[in-house]
Amino acid sequence: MKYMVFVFSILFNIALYVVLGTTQILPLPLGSFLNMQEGIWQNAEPVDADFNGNLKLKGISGPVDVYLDERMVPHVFAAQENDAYFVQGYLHAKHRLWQMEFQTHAAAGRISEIVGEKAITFDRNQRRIGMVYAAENALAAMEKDPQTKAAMDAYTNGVNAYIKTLHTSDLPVEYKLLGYKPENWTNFKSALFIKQMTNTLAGYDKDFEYTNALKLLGEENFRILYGQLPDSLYPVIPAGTVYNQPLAQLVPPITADSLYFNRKDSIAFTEDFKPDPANGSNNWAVAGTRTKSGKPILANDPHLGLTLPSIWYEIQLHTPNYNAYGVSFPGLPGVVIGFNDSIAFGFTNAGRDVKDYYEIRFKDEKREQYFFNGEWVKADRRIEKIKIKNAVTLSDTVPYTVFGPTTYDHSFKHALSGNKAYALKWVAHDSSNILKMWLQLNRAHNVQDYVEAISHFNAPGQNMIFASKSGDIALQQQATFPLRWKDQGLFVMPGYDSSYLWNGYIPFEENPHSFNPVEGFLSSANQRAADSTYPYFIPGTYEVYRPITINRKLASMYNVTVDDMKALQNDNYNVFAEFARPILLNYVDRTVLDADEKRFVSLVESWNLQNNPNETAVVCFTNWWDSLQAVVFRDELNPGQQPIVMPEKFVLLEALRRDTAFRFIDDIHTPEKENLNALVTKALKNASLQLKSLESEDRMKWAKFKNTTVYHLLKNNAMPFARSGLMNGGGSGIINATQHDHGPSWRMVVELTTPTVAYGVYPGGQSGNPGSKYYDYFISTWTDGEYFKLFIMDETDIKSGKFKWKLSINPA
Amino acid sequence: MKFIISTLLSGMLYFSLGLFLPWWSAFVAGLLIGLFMQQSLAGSFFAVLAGVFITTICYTYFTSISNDHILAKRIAMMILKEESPLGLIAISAAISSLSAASAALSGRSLILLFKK
Repeated sequence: MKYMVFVFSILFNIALYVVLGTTQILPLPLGSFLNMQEGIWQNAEPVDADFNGNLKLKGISGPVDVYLDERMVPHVFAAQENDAYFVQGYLHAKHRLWQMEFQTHAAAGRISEIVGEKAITFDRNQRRIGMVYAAENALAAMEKDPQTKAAMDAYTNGVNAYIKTLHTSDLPVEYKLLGYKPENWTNFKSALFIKQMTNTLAGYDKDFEYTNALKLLGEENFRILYGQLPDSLYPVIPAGTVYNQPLAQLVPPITADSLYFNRKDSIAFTEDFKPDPANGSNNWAVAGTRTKSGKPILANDPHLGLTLPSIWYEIQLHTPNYNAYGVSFPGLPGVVIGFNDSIAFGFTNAGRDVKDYYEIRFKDEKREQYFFNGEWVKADRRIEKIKIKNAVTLSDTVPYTVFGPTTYDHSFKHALSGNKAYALKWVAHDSSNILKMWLQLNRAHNVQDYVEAISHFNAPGQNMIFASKSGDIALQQQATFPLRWKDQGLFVMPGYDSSYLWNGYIPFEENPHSFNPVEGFLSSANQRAADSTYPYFIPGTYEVYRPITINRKLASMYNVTVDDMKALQNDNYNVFAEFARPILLNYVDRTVLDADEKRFVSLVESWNLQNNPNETAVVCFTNWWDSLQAVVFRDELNPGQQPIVMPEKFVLLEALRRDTAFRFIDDIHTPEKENLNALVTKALKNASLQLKSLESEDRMKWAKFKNTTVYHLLKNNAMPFARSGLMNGGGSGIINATQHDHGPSWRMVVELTTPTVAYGVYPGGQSGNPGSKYYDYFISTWTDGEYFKLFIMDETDIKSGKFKWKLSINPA
Repeated sequence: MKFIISTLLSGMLYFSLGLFLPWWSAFVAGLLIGLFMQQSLAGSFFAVLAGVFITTICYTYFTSISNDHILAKRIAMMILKEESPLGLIAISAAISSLSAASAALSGRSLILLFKK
């Protein structure tokens, strides 16, 4: 009996250890995860925690004081600039370490190391679009510049100074959840972060889908459905601006008709993990002639995926050389969107296509040589080692051609035959020191400094807005944009000779720009940069409707105040519906509608065109129009296996406004000839089914329908760390561009008076710890369209103790 | 009396070892009590169970209270599918106390093997 008890207890201990200490049986190692001294309980930060402190750290040259305000925003006062970056790195790591590492692991295609085999395709894709290669090129350029290298080194040392202090119990919750530990930060990780943002903002293209659409529809119909110039275009640079003619007129290669515009086959796959095409932003600057204070006001709200921890971290960096305030990227030194004592700056995405695919013919399945300029050329080979949790490391050989990496070949896309592949040419692969732009903008005093700073930026293309206390406003679309002949890069290009290569880049001076326009304001909202008179071919994915509302409103505003700008950023007016609603209401056949359908029509009819949170008509309208788009196009654009993309929303609207007998109205699968009345009515009947279902689920209010959610970076795997069901309005094409999980990731309004007056808010909080009250501290304020007045701290505030906590950091 | 002393000792030992050992310090604490506190098998098991359970409950409860249960609610939702901080506290305590008590059982039964 005694033996039995002993043996049983030993076996029970072993079983407990296996069940609780490993992930063999349970998905989480509950023993350590819920341990009171090692596990998540150590991440439960007291709500009245004291953040005062004194630290001695190796790596700084002098004392640095960090003053934290009641929102946990640090105001860093350093005598040396690089000490400020060191402390910024330390603070980023202290509040956002897991996020910083996870995002750069994602950039580098290293997620399989954390989550195992399910991320292999993602990781291979990241490697194969050349993310690591691009980061290596960027790092080489950044480290070549002594000022940038010193800033990066200081930042990296600061991050690592924090990592060094970490014990297992201090690790962020996500490390405990996923069962791994942080590695040291490097300058290379900062370069990877830059490339991750580049991919987010300049990684969207439709080459494969357009190639298929061209083959399916023919050139004439393709141009109707996928035209680049909307009638209602309101370009970034005001229409009528006179542009210099280019030095040379570019023409397509002589083989273009046969090899490019009339290719024989379609492509049976498309790219994976495409960035959200809604990644965009609003920015504008109003000159003193239109403001109440007589000084410029600058506003910016970048639209990105809404995530927790937030992409942004608010900070003030105060050194003898500059005093910058704004939001920073955890992973990079400096302020990314913000202002200093002289100027303010902000960004919106250019949306330009800077990513082209070339069809490659390899000699054989080994992919060692490819056909180029009449001979077999040896491809460089890059072997990507992908470590996988609980599995053997995968080696993926990626051949590099004169164009770039062969992203897709038979080893990655099985639909491809043995020797066919698609190589990627992408501006992001080029080496450049874009960090220098931010380091210089942070200390810029005037428009000359701004122009010099932005000249260092090559990608992702951005509309860079500027305003200064001296009264100037400016806007330039900046990046290195490829010089293309007309239609070059819309479709997959033949990669068999050099005639299809880009013809260099558009000169910096030729990028669309404007300085102190007579209108007294400048704005951008991801629309096409210039009208048709701009002498370069600039394909892209552009917004049409937000710019209309912004420009309309700004043009009518005088004596503008900061409150007016805040209201404008939260404007919910649906200008698309203003144009589209008459078509729906004028063409619906009311004689064949049932009571519910009539009720939905009536709601749309009496709607004030505001996408407000409690509005129901917008749900009716949106479903009705989407349904119309589907019934119009699904017969022509339903090719089966070949990926294709729906036309942009403006295409159908503008076509119907021009001609109600639009050629795609007829359903090609039916013998009768449909007209617009029939389709609008059919669309309503289809939408009505969905609307009745929404009513039964109590989801007819706009906010409930779109269910705005700020997801944790682990998405559905960590829903308790997310915030969902946020009651806010807005939507696609609305200035308040809040969609389901996407929208204004930072709203900022800066009035360049003396002293500067600034407001800002982002949907998150300074802490990345889900166990901190500062994790989602700003979300309610953001949801309500409210702002925080930004506390621009100076020496007087220090003397009068206008701060909540003080962290003193001294050299060890 | 022995039971109470064992209970108190196991709680203190578990807390102290946890300051520098990983989560499996619960096994060590239980084993030591089982080896060195002379009492019955059941006495050893339940004394350690109670000591470690109460220690964990107290520690996690006060930690969670000072955090307004912000994290416990989120983690409970993840594990228990409901916002139950007390449920999470109970599970944490059950895991540590069961680990310690089963180790105490091993320790005591080992001693009893050699006892005539």
